Amino acid sequence: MSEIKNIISGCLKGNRRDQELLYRRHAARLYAVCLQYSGNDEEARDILQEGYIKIFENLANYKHEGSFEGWIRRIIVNTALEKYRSRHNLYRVDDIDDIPEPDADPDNEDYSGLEAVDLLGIIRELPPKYRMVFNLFAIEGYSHKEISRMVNISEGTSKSNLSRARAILQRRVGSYTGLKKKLLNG
Amino acid sequence: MDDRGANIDIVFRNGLKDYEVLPPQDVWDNIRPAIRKKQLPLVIFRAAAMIAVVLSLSLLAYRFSREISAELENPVIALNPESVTPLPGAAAAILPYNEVSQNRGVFSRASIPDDLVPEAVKTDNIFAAVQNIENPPESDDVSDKNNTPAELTALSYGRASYFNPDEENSLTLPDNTGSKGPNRWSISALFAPTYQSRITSGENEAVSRAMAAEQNIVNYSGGLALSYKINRRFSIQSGLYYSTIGKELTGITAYSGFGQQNNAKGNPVFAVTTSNGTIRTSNSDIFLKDGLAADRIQTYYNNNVFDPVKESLTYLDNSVRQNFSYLELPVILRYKVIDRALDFNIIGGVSSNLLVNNSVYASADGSKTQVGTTEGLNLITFSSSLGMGMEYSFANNLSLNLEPTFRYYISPFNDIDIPGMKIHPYSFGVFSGITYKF
Repeated sequence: MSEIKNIISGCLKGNRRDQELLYRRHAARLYAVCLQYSGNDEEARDILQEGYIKIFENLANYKHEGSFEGWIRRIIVNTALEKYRSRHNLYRVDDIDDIPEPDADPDNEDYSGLEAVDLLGIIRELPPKYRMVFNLFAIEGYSHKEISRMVNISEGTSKSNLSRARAILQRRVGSYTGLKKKLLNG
Repeated sequence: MDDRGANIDIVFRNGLKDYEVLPPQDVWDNIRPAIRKKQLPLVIFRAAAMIAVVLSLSLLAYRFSREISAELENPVIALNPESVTPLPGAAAAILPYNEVSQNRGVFSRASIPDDLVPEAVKTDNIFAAVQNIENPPESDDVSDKNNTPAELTALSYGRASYFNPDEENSLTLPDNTGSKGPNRWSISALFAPTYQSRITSGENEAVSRAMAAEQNIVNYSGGLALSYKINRRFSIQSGLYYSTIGKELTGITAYSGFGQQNNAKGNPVFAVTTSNGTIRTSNSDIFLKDGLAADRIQTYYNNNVFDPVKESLTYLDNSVRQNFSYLELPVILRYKVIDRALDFNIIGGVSSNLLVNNSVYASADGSKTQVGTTEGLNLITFSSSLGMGMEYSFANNLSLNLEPTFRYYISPFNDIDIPGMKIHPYSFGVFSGITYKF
């Protein structure tokens, strides 16, 4: 029996140590995902907490087909999505006219100086609606059709939100790398 | 824009691919009670079910014994009218006083229907005789036949018996003394799954942390017992039992294939703190890692030095099992509380336990891999036991036994002094088996 099967089996029997082991194995990776989907740390903590409770509740449904990491990540993303839907009306969506076009051609930009923590900071600054569509499309790999059902928007809105998200990201990445270069070159 | 966008997508996808951020500790602190809360009803349900089963069995056994008792207290007497003659005045007893007084209802005038009692017997003589029986003679010689009227000896005692003066010249009583025939010896084969736990007092941080990761496992005990009945109530029992005691140490992940990397050349390289003592690895091919970061393992090969996954060691299990086996020599006293078809006994005694096996192993795909041993275990330990025995006779010399038994270890498994903490192991098991009397 594989290690993860043993741990899952222990969790299903209510073994506290296996539950903690399962949590600690994946918590850091999943917390990074939660941060990616949330605008503040408190929201990220809530997503992680609720997501893990769902993971433990649904562990018996895991069929050991496919990656376990993928399965638990999907639960966390769905939890983030539910939280987003419940707060949807609270979020203000910037108008497309407010989003300036990127200054530079992104294909020619050098992003090598950017670290994961920088990227995470940039993505978290996106307005929630753009952040959600960008995450679902660019990071998770969902299609616009799937996103439209998940977020309850039209495919066209999903596409335009992605386009706006990319524009913001390119502009901010550009200014971030420029600033970093300036700082490095004195 | 889409192509340009795809580029930025890749930047973020690759950049965040393996990114990890440690969550605050309070997240797990909030998750844990939520999971336990959901599991609690199941635990309560199981405990309630166990209590219900034990209570039901006890109630059934009690009722069964009461029914048997009631039957014995209300027997039917049938007399042969022609053979019974009035008693010549007050007669002395042939019955032991105790036996008659216990069964006085048998001889009560009112308890015998009139149509069953011949006129000759309807005189109060016979009952007067019985009344006199209730006042025992000074002499303890209850079998003094000089004082026995032959007519009274005709009274037979039992569920449905008929008097025949030609067959009997003395009153025959069923043996109600508890010594069912001459079978004073008995031999029993008993077996029980046992549950082991412990009572702790005081606090030791390292041991408490280790104990929190130790799970009780179901152990076994069984063997042969030889018993001698001293009198109606008491019997003494000894025998030879084999029992296992063990714990599962969760979160200790075991890997094999370490032999090629291990420079210690067979010396124990891992020491694991447990509540039963320290485990030393003796298998140089085994690598141990504490997955709970509970600091239970002392080794040179810590997480900063050696990664078993990167070194492609073979994963075996995410827990190891600590197992001790003992040969037990008990001395047990049994007191019979209820002496019926279903007997009830109170059982108590002491055992000396000889350690015959001390192993720590990891399981993988049904096979066990030896890891090491627990050091400093006492070769002999002593335990006391208290239990309740139910014995149901289903044939002349055979009976079935059920004995819920609590065992408390007087001396610990290990003499190592834990600063600030005392551990007293105990176990509970329900022994079942068969007894042959001879």
